[in-house]
Amino acid sequence: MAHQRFRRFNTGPYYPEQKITNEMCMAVRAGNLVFLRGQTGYTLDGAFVGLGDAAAQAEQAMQNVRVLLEEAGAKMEHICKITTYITDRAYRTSVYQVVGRHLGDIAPVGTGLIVNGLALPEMLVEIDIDAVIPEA
Amino acid sequence: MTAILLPGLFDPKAAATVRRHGHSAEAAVEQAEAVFARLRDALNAAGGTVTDVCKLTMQITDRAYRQAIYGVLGRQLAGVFPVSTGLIVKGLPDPDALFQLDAWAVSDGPHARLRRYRSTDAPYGLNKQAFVCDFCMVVVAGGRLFLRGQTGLTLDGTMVGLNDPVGQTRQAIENVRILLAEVGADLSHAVRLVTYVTDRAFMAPVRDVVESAFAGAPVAGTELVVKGLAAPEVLMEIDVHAILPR
Repeated sequence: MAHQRFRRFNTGPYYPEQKITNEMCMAVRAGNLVFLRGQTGYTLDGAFVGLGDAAAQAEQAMQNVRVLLEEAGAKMEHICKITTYITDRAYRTSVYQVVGRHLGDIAPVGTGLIVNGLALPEMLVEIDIDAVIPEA
Repeated sequence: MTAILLPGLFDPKAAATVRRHGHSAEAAVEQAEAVFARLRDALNAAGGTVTDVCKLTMQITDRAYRQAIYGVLGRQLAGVFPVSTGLIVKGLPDPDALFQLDAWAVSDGPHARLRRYRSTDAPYGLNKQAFVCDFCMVVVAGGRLFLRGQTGLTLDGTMVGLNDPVGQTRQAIENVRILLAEVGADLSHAVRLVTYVTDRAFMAPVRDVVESAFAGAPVAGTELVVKGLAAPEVLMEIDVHAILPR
């Protein structure tokens, strides 16, 4: 079976100054594996929330994660790996508190990185999720 | 076969290495030894062995430590031939960590490893580098395809697109197409894409080339600006993970 691709979108509206109009998607399901686009302060409707507020951006990102996983037939507790990118170490405490609240006792493996930048300057945090749906 | 994800491995005693040696290659080597020991222990605990390792993403806080850390990698994983992506990053969660490792393994190897090479025989960017590591370009483990991070370096080892992130991206995409074809796959089997650039100004033109290539079968992507890649002249890198349908 071909991989399922959820919420195909065009990048144009996200990056108006960059004149890029490409087709991407928010989630790919390959068998029982689910891969999400890196999630940020952008809502799934394309509004940006939490300008200057890394914790608010993380909150939006984690809400997106839940919606996208469920649309792909997975649940939060199927999360295996989380990668948390922040643009400044100062955001670490507040962002990780938000992420931790959403993850509860799921206990995934994880990586944290402080990077020089994300896709847009106003993005302060991005969250990558890999999930595996258990065999029935 | 079971995938074993081992991200975010760092030396829990990083602070002590920095107290002993300062921020230096010596401290980086001690941390790297501890990280690879943890990798070995974690793999064993998960029912795997070091020969199951498929992909490494090396995260180093300063290019000055790169040779030393890769030297440890070369000794610790001699004969394993993983694929690798090497990043110079602004910071790691532990302020004293100079090195962090993400590792992906799949149990029940041996896995097919294509286009094996020894780092001393292959240029990184324009020049060869001094460390000795056994790597390859593609690992096939079950239906999972792990590719080396691709750049403006052709598969024959010629650096194209100097000072030209778009030219480098075209080459990287061409490499991905070739490597996937060699294992009976194509871009429609890609499931995950991470695009690294070394300057925000490169992001838009690089993304345009990358995403055009994937237009037929869009993937879940992440874009990052990092401090550096394998060599200063390498301005972009793409990590592609693909899965062959059963």
